[in-house]
Amino acid sequence: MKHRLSLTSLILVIFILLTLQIFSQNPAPEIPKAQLPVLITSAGQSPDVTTVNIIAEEAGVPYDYCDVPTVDLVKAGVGLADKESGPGFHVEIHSDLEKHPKGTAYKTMIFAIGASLKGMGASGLTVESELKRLQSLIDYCQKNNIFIIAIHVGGASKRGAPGSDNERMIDAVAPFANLIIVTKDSNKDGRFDQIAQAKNIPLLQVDNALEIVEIFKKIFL
Amino acid sequence: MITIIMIVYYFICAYLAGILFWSFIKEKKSLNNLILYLLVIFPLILRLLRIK
Amino acid sequence: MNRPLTTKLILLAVTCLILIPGSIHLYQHRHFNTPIVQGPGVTQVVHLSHYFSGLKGTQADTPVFILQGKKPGGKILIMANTHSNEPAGMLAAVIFIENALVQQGTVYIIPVFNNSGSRTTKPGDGYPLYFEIKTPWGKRRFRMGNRNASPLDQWPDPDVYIHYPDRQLLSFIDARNTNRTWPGRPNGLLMERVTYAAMELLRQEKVDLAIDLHGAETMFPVTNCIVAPEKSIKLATLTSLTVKALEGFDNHVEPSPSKFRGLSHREIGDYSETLPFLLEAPIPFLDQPTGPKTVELLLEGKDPFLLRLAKKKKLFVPYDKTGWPMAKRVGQHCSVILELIRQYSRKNPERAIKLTNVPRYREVVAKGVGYFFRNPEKADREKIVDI
Ligand SMILES: [Zn+2]
Repeated sequence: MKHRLSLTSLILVIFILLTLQIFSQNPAPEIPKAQLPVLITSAGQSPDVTTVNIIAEEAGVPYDYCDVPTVDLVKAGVGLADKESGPGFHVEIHSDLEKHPKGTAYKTMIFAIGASLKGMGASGLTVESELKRLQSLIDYCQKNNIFIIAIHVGGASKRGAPGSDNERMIDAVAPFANLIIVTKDSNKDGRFDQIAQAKNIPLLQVDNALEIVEIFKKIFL
Repeated sequence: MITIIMIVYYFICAYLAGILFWSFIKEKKSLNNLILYLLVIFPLILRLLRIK
Repeated sequence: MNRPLTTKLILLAVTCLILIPGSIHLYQHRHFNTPIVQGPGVTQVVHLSHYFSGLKGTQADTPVFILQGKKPGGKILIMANTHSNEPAGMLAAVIFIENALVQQGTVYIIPVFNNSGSRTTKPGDGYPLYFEIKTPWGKRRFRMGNRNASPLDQWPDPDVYIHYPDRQLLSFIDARNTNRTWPGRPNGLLMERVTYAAMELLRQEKVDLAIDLHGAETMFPVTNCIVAPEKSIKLATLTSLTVKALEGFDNHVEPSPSKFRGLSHREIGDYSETLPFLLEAPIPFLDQPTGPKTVELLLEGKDPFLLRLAKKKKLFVPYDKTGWPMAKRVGQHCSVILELIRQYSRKNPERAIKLTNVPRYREVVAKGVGYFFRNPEKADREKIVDI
């Protein structure tokens, strides 16, 4: 009886391993790993950054958020120097302060790309000053080995003609990212494929934004 | 207060309608004027009868 | 008989001939009611004046359906016909009233929020006075109302409407618009008293969520969306993403502007603990460049001029030959409400709201809106409420 049982469990284990094997052979692109702590910010001040925050929450990824951080603020690390939200300036601290006490340098930055004149206006930014801010942040990340994730979930309606505000935000961030994640409807014209190919950046495409929850789990946890 | 203003407006409305109707009766010559009086009185009556 | 007298009598007779039949239609429309049935989930029906007596006896008072579950939990208020010329929300509200079974928490439903507005019609645009929804037991007839309250109930209009309490200057016509008079005041204009009564409901009953159902033109960017202020934007975004992914209809989130006053999604959040949401579904009937404003256009949303504009990419929603049937719009409202409730309950288990027996988008589209309506003739007399 005892032998029989262990045999059954052995078969079961083999079976599970086999199915796992089958699933892992899915031709999914290799997903790079990113490390915590992570800071989420916006590139262009559209509400799409809320989507990314929610995705992180749903995935159980602890994060800090600031819509318009400067290089100095990023340097301050986890907790963002205890800055408080005000009109046109928002901060949320959800990092695990046990593991990453205040002041710990960020290892990853996520940029939610999407231009909104309303959003930029509310934060007292122009397209030019927003681009400048992004450039300085990207420079800082690259110098300090901070992993950059560029995300575009705004869909086709957010995308614009070449040279439009939204496309300039894409140009400012996506070519310098270590990983690009987009929804299918954001990439109808294959623009992100071109950027990814030219710069040899891994690109993940999902049908809808909620699928990024699983990606975040794999990247961070 | 607001109700009082509303009542006053109904009185104004009735007064205007009255004047228009009086003018209609008094008018001697112009057919044009007669039609115009009736047209203008239309919305006043609708309001006074609380229809529209 | 002299000639002028004959002329005058003829003219008077003609006037009466025009005035009387026209007036009868308008009078009947103002006093027409649709009988609806309290579904098995309805535990109480009160009037809005229950929460603020200043509405008692006015044409602005309106029924509030209460569906209380056995288990205590969170509370939600669903308001429709804030703009009575956008009736998809009202139809969704009736589906909830006649079908929903509430296991936990309480659902408050006001199917005709601007009752006065629902009993008048827009002058000059040739709007239909009624529309009918096909059901398995016959047709159910509803009033087609107006965006603003009837001047019979609130008159005169001010030159400029000064919003209370922010003193923002708004158009005079918005003094009768129950989506500009929030948060209202007890001694203000009648429409300010309507919104004040609703605020009192939210505050007295400690309601967690408030949903205001609307329809918007396809040429207006704020359509197919949830409008939410900062405090409810995360829940709105999560809901929007979920319905888009699971149910396949277009939906996005629009942040509520903080400087534009009087709107439900702004003032409810600012003047109570409640999280407000305003849902917009497309309504081609309200677009300016359409053909005649027929009942068919209202129900089917098919219009050749909009189709041409869609080809020129001038519309903010997908649009093709199939138009925008009422079932799609009502189904969207049902799904978004259910999903907001589900997501809120997931995040706040101690304030959860659980309800069943309300169809989602696909089911409404497949079976039609009328499929979910109950026959008042088969219902107990005391279960019937006129709206
Ligand atoms: Zn509306």
